Amino acid sequence: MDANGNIVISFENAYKTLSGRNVLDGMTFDVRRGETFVIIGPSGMGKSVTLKHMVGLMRPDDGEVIISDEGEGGRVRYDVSHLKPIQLERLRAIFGYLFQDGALLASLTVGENVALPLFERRLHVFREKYGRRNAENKIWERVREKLGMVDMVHAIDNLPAELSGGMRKRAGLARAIIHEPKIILYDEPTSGLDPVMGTNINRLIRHLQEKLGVTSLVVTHDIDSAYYVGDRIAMINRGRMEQIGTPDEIKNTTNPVVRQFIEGNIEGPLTAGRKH
Amino acid sequence: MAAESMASRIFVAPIRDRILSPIGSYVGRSVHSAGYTMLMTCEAIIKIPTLLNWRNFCEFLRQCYLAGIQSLPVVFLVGLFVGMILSLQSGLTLMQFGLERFIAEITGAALTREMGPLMTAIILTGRVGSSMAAELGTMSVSEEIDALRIMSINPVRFLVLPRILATVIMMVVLTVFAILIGIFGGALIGQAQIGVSYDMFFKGAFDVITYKDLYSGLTKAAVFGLLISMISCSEGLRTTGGAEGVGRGTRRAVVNCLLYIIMFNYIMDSFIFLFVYGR
Ligand SMILES: Nc1ncnc2c1ncn2[C@@H]1O[C@H](COP(=O)(O)OP(=O)(O)O)[C@@H](O)[C@H]1O
Ligand SMILES: [Mg+2]
Repeated sequence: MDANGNIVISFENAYKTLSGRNVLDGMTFDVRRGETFVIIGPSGMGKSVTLKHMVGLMRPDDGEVIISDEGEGGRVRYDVSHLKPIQLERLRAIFGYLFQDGALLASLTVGENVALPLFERRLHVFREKYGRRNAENKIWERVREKLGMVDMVHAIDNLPAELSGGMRKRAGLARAIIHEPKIILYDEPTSGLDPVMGTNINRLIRHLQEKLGVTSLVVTHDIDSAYYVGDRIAMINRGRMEQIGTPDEIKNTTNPVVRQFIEGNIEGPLTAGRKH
Repeated sequence: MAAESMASRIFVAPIRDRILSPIGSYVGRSVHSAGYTMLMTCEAIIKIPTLLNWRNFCEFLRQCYLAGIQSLPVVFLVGLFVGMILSLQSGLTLMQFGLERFIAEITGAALTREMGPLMTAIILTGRVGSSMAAELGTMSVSEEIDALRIMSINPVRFLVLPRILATVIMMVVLTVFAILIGIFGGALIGQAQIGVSYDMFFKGAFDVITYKDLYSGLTKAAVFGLLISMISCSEGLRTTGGAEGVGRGTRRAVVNCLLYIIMFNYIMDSFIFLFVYGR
């Protein structure tokens, strides 16, 4: 299926029922290496749930979620439904995950939050590379560098409770990229940010993709941001993909559901079919 | 056929839907919850060696401070008053028989075997158990626990282990403190209202407390500490459903802590009675 080695994430007919609702209902799509794949769709439609399936925070009830990684030892294929703890750990190391509200630990400062994955999981790597003495300094150097990318160095000693929602999200982004992951999952990266900062984050997403070749998955309902960062855009509706296409294809779509969503119409098939 | 379905509608269906099914799902939930809590606690115990790491040990010390040192004022006040009450009440009864010089023995024994561990456990349920359940619950609903999992940081090792260990140790320390304060409070009343001098009271109280009393009391304290922290952490980690869910989880944690403390108190008392005192 992914014999050409181009597909890194693949959902194959995935089903997931949560609190009695079919949140994923035959979800099928592929994400290609190095692209920015944007998922748009109304709230509560399972966008975050889709992301959580990729990192094994949730497992499909039925169907397959496959992640392929091109490592030093060749190609590794992770089937999210059947992972041993050690494989799960390796799988998660491939990913950076920006949570919807940043998900910073409240008891740690911004700097400690961003440094946490390195101190907890990679201290030995830094020690081997830079020696025992320098390892900590190198970690803090890296923390400053990543905080600089999201314009948050000034807040390094603040506690999350002292920050605005947008600042927490940016700090969360710095933490997501601290270990230089190959795939980055962004859960609503621009919601709650002012327009200028939103543009900054959009640029950063593109920058990471172009300069470092990371594969990105962006969940958003900011349609302008989707056009700006996306190589391909997919609209989720009732647990499956309504349409997948390039930004131009989405802009000129004839699919009434997608049309309604991107134009923000109140009347249409999207709202007519909603059971609430 | 028709009669059967009528009977089923009137008698069987309500019993099934209103009585059997809720009981079944309650039992199911409780079993699941107890199983989760036990597994979580075992995992925490397996991870105890990770405390040799300096960063993890610091978190443990921080939890000791939060659970233990910050609870001192409340334990002091409650201990003092419980000691005074015990002394006063036993004094009242003993005076009728002219045996009021024994209030020290009764106060000391009651505090060590029963009231010390129990009142400390109830205080820590309110102060520590509820705040653990709320803190971990908030972390669950704001995806912080998920974030830890993504970073391959085991939440049980990172959050639960230091809390359980700190609560167990601080329960024991605070219980000793509560017993001492209680005896002091009892002595105050003895001197002021019953007519037993400080000297007599302290001598009587400390003479009556045996090693058996002390270690059975402190074993109870440690078990209560384990119950409080494991129930509260487990509720916290399983919280879903926003702020409302955090409230629900915290309430369940406190209620379950109190229930299990009282039940285990009785169970352990009967074992101690049988095996330690050989009665
Ligand atoms: N852990 C969970 N337990 C139960 N239901 C959940 C859970 N996570 C999400 N859901 C439900 O799944 C649906 C989709 O949620 P989500 O993916 O967060 O939506 P969104 O598209 O806004 O990100 C919602 O109805 C939500 O209530
Ligand atoms: Mg979401």
